Amino acid sequence: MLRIENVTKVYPNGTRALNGISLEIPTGQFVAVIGLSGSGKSTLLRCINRLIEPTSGKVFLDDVEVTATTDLRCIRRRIGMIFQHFNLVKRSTVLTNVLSGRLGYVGSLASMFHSFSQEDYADARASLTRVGLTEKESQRADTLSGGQQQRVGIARALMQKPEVILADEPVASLDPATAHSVLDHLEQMNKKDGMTVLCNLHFLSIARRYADRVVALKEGRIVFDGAPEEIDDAKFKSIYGEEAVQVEIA
Amino acid sequence: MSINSARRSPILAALLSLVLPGLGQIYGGSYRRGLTLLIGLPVQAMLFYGVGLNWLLGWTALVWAWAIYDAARIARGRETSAMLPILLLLILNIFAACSVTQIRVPQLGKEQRNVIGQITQGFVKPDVLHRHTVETPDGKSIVTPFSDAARLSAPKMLETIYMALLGTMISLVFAIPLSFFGARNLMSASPILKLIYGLTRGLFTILRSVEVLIFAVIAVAAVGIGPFAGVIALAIHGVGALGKLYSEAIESIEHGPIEAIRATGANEFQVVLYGVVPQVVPQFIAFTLYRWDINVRMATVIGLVGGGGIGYLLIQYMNLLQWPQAATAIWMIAGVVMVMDYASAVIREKVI
Repeated sequence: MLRIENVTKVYPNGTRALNGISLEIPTGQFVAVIGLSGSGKSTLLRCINRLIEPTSGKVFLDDVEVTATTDLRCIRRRIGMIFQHFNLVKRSTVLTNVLSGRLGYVGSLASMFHSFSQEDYADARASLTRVGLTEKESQRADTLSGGQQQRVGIARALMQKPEVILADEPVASLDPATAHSVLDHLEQMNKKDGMTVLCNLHFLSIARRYADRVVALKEGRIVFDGAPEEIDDAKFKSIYGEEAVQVEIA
Repeated sequence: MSINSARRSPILAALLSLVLPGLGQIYGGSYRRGLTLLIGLPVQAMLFYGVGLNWLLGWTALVWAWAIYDAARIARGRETSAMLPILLLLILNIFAACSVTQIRVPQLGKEQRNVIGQITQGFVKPDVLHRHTVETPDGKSIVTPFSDAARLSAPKMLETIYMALLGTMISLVFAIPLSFFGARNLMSASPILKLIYGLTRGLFTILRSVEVLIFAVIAVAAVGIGPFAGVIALAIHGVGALGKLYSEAIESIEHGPIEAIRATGANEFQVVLYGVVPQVVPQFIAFTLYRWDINVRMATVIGLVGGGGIGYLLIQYMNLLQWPQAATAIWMIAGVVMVMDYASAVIREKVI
């Protein structure tokens, strides 16, 4: 259970990115967060693992208050994150990128000498096999295609053995076919491993295909929260503006 | 240039610029040009007056005349290119520079011609090969094909290369840890971190802005003549130079991977280790090689003020007017610098 209570974020330049967001997300739900650029989707995700500190409000993961905890490391490793631009370390190998998902569990000294345990190595290889990149482990991350890099990002998140996955526009930089292969992995993690997934998406058609629930943001407020099929033309226009037209992404 | 649509009186504009160059332009609405003339022309006149070249002031008045003409045109709503007055001022300043630096065609007497001849001859025929017998330290006599100058210069050249290497390594040891504190993107989280950032960058600037030669003179005074003084000078200056380059390399990295590593639960040390370091290593290697290369050249000059190495030998030859011997050292330096230049360029290309 992930609970967000009245979270507000005001940036130093005065931008009010989030304006009193409250959400309750049961364990195992696949939630798509939609909205225009600048509606606060990315800020919301980052407030959950405190990559961005909320100005006010509380976030709870099960019984732990994330916004008050002194052991942020312990919270963050329960929450995996996937990014629009993959955010791999380009010059490191694929395997090192995947192993870095374990850093929340490994001590400073051990990580300094790159000494991960045998299980970590086995897990890393298993994760790479799961995303179909077994043979790529010793290649540099920047030699892979966009879709492959995003799958390395997923493997890195898997290493944390997370309960929650935060995916920030995971397919916005990918072509439609590759996008679906990446989202299929997310769906599998949700259905098979029971991970809660919070996924920012641009396209409603993708949200409809994968999500149990859609939350729409506009100017830092929730303007819709419900099942994907409830979004009709009127609701769509209230989320995206009068000019908007629905487009289908294959 | 903002020219108002309302026409102004050209005669008034010209008169204004006659009283004070630039005033007519301001009246016509060309504020930037007006201010440039208003401030620039008096400053230019003061410069010529300051170096005692009053005859140039008359020529400067031509620009004044142009300003009057230009003011009238601006008032009529036209534009004039400032090319002509700029060109004129450039030429006048080159005249002033020639006069101040006393540049002239040198009048060579017999003696001067003789000295230049000797130097040229030294350079064309450096004292490298000279077959003769020398005595080794353990008392044996051996025949060597090399001259004394070559036999003395070679080990001093090596000394210079090692001076540069050690100087670079010592600055690297201090510059690498400091550079993380001098990177704005890592140090912007709190006011205290920002202060540390400012202090670190300030330190780099101070160390970098003091010439190596000055550090060398101080080091020679402190530890005596010799290569050790040279190493100290190179090391201190290098901390500033390398620190700045390293910090800028850190500032230019991508933020995304750092965010991703932080999201896994990694602590700040691990974030630097896994998110920052892999991104900066190639640039750090490139900058370090570049510094070593620079230090070899600087180490030579440091020798001139007593910092050891081949420079120290070179200044002795020059003081004794032994040009062929001095040429041996200079050719050797040129060769080494060329090889290092090439090698570091090749390696830099490989690692980036």
